Amino acid sequence: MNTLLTTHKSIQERLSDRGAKLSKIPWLKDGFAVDATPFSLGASFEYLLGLISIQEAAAQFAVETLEPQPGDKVLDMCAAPGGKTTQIAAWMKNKGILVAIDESRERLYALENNLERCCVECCLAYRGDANELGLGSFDRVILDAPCSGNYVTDLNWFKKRTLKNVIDNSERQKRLLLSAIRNLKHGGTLIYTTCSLEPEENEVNVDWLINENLVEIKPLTGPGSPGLTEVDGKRLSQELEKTRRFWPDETGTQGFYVMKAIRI
Amino acid sequence: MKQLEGFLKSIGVENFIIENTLVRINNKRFTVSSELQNAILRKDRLVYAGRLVGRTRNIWEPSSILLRELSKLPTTHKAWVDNAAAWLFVCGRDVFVERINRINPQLTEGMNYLVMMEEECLGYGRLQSFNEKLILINLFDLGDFLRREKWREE
Repeated sequence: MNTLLTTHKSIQERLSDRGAKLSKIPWLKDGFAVDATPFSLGASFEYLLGLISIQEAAAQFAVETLEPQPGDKVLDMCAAPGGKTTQIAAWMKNKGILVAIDESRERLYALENNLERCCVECCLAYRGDANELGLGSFDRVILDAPCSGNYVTDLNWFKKRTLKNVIDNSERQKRLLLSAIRNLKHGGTLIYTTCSLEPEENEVNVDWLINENLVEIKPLTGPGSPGLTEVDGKRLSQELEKTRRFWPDETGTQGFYVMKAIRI
Repeated sequence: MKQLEGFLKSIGVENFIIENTLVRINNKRFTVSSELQNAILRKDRLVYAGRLVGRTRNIWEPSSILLRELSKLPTTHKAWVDNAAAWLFVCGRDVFVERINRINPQLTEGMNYLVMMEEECLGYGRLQSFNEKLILINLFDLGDFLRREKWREE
């Protein structure tokens, strides 16, 4: 729900009047689950007017952990198609500087549409990567990294993915993580998320950051399970227990991983 | 900006003050606060900035953000339609004058009106006669958000 344009009460009443059944997701500030609807929410007036967006519950949790505030300077890396960007702008009440970047021009068109639809006015969106652009120092950075995905959102996942895919993604994610840290001020907040369940793309990458002494992990509470501290017989930092892993069978969401850290 | 001024005049808005700086990115025009303007470091890679005012796609089109703002002004020309006409309008259809419940200021051929569903602006159109019937010709509607995505996919 877009708090820039509506309220919980108003949107619940509007959609209920038209037969949709919503329930508040307890661990999300502005997130509702659609239990039943006689019409397509994605083609509703409410959607076109920017009052609502449709996003996986686990993905919304990333911005909850970022906790952006009005007046902050926030960097959203790999931002397209903009679900998290519009959510961040709502948390910021359209005040401050929100920079959204993505390397894909095609995907940025969708982000632009979402910014307009949701009446976001505090955003600068760029094509490129954060290293190359040199956009300065941010209070908060969120990196929802490109990843191997998971079987909940991709039925052919097991047919398409190979171990090499996972390793390649892991290397790319490390590069993006370094870039995120370079753009974060000391003491600033970093959120790293993927929709992958592969430890190589999640805990193993974060373990590397911890060993490089780049970040201090902050504990996350809420849904999901503690991150893994042992992978394929190899022991990782106990700090990883502070991160969260969304197993689809436990959380009823897609697979997801979230890490919150402070730059040292 | 002449196109914006022309559009504002066509829907009855006068003395509309744009407080912030205008920024042009490709075919789009934005307004940005001084805080955002100072934060623009790579204009060559910028694709979106601040508040979208409008775009040129063959002709000048106001953004939905601007229309929403203008719909709150008392002098803006507005036509309120019923639910069925509203649905057809966001599907890109024109509005028969019989489906207009209320109008501000009055029906005048050649005049532009924002199309309203209660307090919400769904787009705008121009009143024209066609085969001796008055029709509000659809010039922009919110369904454009979905159509843009579909065109991209194709």
